Amino acid sequence: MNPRAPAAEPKDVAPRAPAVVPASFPPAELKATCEKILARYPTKMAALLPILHEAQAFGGGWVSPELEAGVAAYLDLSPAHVHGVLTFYSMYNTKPAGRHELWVCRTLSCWRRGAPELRAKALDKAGCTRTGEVGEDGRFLVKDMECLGLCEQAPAIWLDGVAHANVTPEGLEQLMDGCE
Amino acid sequence: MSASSSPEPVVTINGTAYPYEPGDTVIRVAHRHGIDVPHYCYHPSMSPAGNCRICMVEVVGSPRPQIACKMACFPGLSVNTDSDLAHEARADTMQMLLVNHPLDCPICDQAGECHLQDYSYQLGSGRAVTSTPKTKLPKNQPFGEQIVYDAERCIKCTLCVRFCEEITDTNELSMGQRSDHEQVIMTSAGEFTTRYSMNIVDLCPVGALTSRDFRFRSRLWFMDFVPSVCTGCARGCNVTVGARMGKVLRLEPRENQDVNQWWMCDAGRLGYKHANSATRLGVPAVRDASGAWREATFEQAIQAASAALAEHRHEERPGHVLLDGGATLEEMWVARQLAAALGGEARFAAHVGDDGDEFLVVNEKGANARGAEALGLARVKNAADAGAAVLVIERDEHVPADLRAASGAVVAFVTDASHVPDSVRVAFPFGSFAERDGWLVNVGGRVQRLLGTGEAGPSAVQPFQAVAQEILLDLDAGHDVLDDAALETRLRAAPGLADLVWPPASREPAEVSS
Repeated sequence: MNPRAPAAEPKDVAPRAPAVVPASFPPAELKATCEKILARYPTKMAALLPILHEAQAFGGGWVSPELEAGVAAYLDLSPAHVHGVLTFYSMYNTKPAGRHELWVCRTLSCWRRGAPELRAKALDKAGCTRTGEVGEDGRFLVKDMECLGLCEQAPAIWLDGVAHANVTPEGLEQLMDGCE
Repeated sequence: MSASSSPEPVVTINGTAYPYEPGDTVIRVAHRHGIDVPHYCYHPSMSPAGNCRICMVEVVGSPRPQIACKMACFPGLSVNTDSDLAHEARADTMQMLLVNHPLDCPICDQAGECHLQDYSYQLGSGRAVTSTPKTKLPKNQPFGEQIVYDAERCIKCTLCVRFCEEITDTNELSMGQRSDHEQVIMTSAGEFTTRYSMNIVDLCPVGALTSRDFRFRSRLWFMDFVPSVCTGCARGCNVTVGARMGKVLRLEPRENQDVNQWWMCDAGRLGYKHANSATRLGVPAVRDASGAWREATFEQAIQAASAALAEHRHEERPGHVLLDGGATLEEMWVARQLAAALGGEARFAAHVGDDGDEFLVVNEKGANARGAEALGLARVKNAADAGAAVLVIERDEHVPADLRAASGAVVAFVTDASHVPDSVRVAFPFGSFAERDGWLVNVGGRVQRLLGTGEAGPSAVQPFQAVAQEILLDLDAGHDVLDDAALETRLRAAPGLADLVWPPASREPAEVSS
């Protein structure tokens, strides 16, 4: 009766992802730390960021869907909320990380003082094409990061928790060569 | 100043004073008095988020405009919703909202009912003010099985997220990423299984969330919309039925604070498919001497039905009329008269589910089961009681195949030709919920108007009331034929029905609110 009505149902339904079984959280070795963190805050939700840092360190540099669901259950939050927080902050990884994590500052001072060259060098040494990826050897995860607070000594990078300022491409190469 | 003598507090909006209640926000008072304040992220059922910024109004005496959705009323407050400052603030907000919006209205399902589109026509300059390329974000993302999300069209109002948090309390959605990459997300392996999920499609002020069922089916301005009620269960959620060229294309909830607030369930929303069945009976059909079906005019079919029923009466077989639990009060009333002429009674059958919840869905699926009971119709539950002369069937689940076969009926009014049992000799087309006009009683005893649209179903289907009364005239020359208005007068005064909650008398359809 309606010649324009499409006959077939659209077929772009994505396959349903398997349900995630939450990891039991916190694991025994984190229990004391997590309880200490919880005690610092008025609500469980407020403890989400530090607990996620703990979970990430425990998970080998990233928060797996199982850990994410575990944290959500532990803090009485919805898994969707926890996932939203994880994706909001660039310090959290939702994909497996490398053995070392290298951040290159992408804010103005560093950018004007040679950060693009550092970024290119870092990607080249790590063996990946874009930031946020891990090279094939699994050594480095290179990430763009907002201001590292070292504008007066730009350009700055951050390698495994240690900030380095006034970095040259040669200096960066040396630093990276020193990593296993 | 004592409380009793203090005047009711007022706020001034556009120079006129309006009373407000404690806790009122400017937007609530304005909307209550019919003053238009644009809004995307505001919804009266949810906490204000204040993130779309389009509802900005001028506060007299303040250099900065304020958002009306979060601005609490206080004595002496005076705002302008229509001043230059308010318009400027909104135009600037629109510019920000459109920076990364794809402006793909020509292929967007929301076009025609999109406030972003409306306000960009009203307030936009028609030219982009930025030269940076627009952000690329995920498109065609499934949220569950019924909803498709387009992150580029999304203006991040968070209405859908708040719906899942505050209304259904299922928390499936959240905001992810940040800045110009912000988007609505589910968990990495999340499922979206709320049975009320499709309400977020209505909530979405833009075309970011579209219904997989309706998308790309029709432009809105080609469709006909009528205010009606959902017949998926006995709750009777108020809906707007959208139809075009013989097909029902969309059901959307219509606000009624006493029945369904602003919402409806997914099953009800998608429960219109039988109206578009490929096997809809469009014209009356009569069996010839060899038992084969042939098409007939209504006059011929009425004649044949009268003859068949007279014979049936003569044979002293059960003269009952078995109705679908979704039949209207008018149809039940006339069915009762027809049954009386055949020496039987009107009865009804309706499906009873087990999926009722505390929100909207109820177990009773017969949309007018309460009305049938109020009219004194007996309920047929199994095939042993199904004996009847006449069947009136819209939905298969109410009068299933075993009941139909056991009825031994000779005349059937059916929506779908496949519902005609072998015993039937004359079949009349019966309109679906989207084509019939009449009153239904919901589970709470509220009488609500089912309204048909001429755009749905086969054309020229005569209503059951009219056809059945023609047959009645043939069977009983003294029958007093009643039109719908006369039927309504009798229904309103009928025992069992007079005490129910009736809307004001009117055969005129209510206005559709957009």
